[in-house]
Amino acid sequence: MEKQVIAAKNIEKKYKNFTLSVPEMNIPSGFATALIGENGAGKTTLLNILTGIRNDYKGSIQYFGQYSEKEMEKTAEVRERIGYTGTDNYYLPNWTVGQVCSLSKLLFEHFHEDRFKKYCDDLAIFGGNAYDGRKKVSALSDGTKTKLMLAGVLARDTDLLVLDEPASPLDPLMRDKLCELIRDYLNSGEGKSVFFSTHNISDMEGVTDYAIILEQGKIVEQGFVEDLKEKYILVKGEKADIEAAKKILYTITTSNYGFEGICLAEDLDKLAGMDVVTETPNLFKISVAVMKRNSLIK
Amino acid sequence: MKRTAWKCFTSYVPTSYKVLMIVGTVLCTALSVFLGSILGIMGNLIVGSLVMVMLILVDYFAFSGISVRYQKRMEMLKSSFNGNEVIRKALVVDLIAKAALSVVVYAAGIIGAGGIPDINVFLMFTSFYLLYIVVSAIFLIFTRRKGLSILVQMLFCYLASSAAGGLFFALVATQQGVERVTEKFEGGSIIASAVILALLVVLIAVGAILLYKDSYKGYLSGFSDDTDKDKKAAKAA
Repeated sequence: MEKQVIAAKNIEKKYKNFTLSVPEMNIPSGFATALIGENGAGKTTLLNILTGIRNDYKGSIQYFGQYSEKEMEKTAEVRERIGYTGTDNYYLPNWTVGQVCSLSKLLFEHFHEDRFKKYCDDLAIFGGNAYDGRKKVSALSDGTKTKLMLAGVLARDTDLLVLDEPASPLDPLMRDKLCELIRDYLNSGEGKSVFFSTHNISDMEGVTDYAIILEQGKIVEQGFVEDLKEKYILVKGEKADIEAAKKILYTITTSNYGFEGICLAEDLDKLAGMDVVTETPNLFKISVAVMKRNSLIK
Repeated sequence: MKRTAWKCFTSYVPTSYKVLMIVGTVLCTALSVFLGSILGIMGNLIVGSLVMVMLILVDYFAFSGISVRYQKRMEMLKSSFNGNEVIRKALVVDLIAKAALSVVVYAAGIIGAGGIPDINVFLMFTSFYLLYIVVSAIFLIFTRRKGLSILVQMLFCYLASSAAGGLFFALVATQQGVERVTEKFEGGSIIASAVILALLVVLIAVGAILLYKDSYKGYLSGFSDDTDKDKKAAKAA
């Protein structure tokens, strides 16, 4: 079994009308892992727990195969090795880019100002203009704030990046650049790993090695993308077979011409006798099927 | 990089806060000198209220170490092992800066009034000034905990001056009680005032520690559920 960068057990966090319950979750080392789930599935809560931003939960977490969650609180080692980018709550709005830089130097032992400025330039945070430390964070668009967060974590020497919805506020070009940055990061050293939550499955599929699908606070599917593509099959068939197919397919979408659905590969034999075409589904199709199956949305 | 308290403070607070604090200090100092020259040492009582209002306004709008409006944010600090240390040090320097500002403005009022008129009067007015700061600090803790708006905070600031006025009479009565003990000595009245003043300085220190702890607690609360209501609900669940 491959090494894990994070191994979590019996994670539980209760809210009034929602419980995040993860009996076991392993994030493989050296890969990019996507955390997929609909709104309110518990993705941000889970990421906050794993990065130590939230500490009111039950359960145990092991980092880099050797540190417990308690050691994360007591020693700088674990947090130094994790680079985290959040959503709206990452910076204070009155901070300037220069402050973000000087605070990063105070907060993180291995932060490189020159690298930060280079990433600011590469990602066109100042719209092609020279680095401007006086620029207020509140004056940046959501996408640019995300770029700034990425510049901040990539300017550090880390072994794991935990990114909360990095692709959502980005334009298609920047999403492509994000995938490139993730690939470069994974290739920059042995055991470098990335764990990110996303709704933009198609855009991020090219860089996703492992996927975890979270629904209603529970992991409903996880595995290497290649394995998932073998586990599930995309089936297309004739209108006449819709009713019979409904009983077998994992999820089904019907139209005037026929149906399309996802089926477990092990159930494929049950479709014998029907006029169907099978294809290998992409991660988007698999994720939507799994989410649909477990969603409260009717 | 070495995390000195000053470095933590200057990195954490925005430029607008630093500028407003400096401008506010200059304005309050000038006003204090002016009022001192007209009203004598009494002018300090008015300036005391203005200093508190200025501190609350600057803190609220430019934010600083003691503002709680964004305590749920700052994930950048929370994701770092050194985040707690940085915010702790920034809070301490912030409080020291505010205390220094109050002292400077008060001293300017004394200078404006042409120096210390009478040691007893000086001790009495200084006691009131300190008492006002202590009461305001306590009120501030309350208003921040409740997350009240800036207008309500201003109202509480006004109430603090009234409360301090009321307490001041109690203080005078206490002073007279102490005087009965110290009157056996030469300058007994001054000793009594000095004792009261010393007690208030201790109270100020306690108030500052409470304010610091409350602010830091506010930051730490951002690591867990949003409200006590959520916590209770989670417990019940």
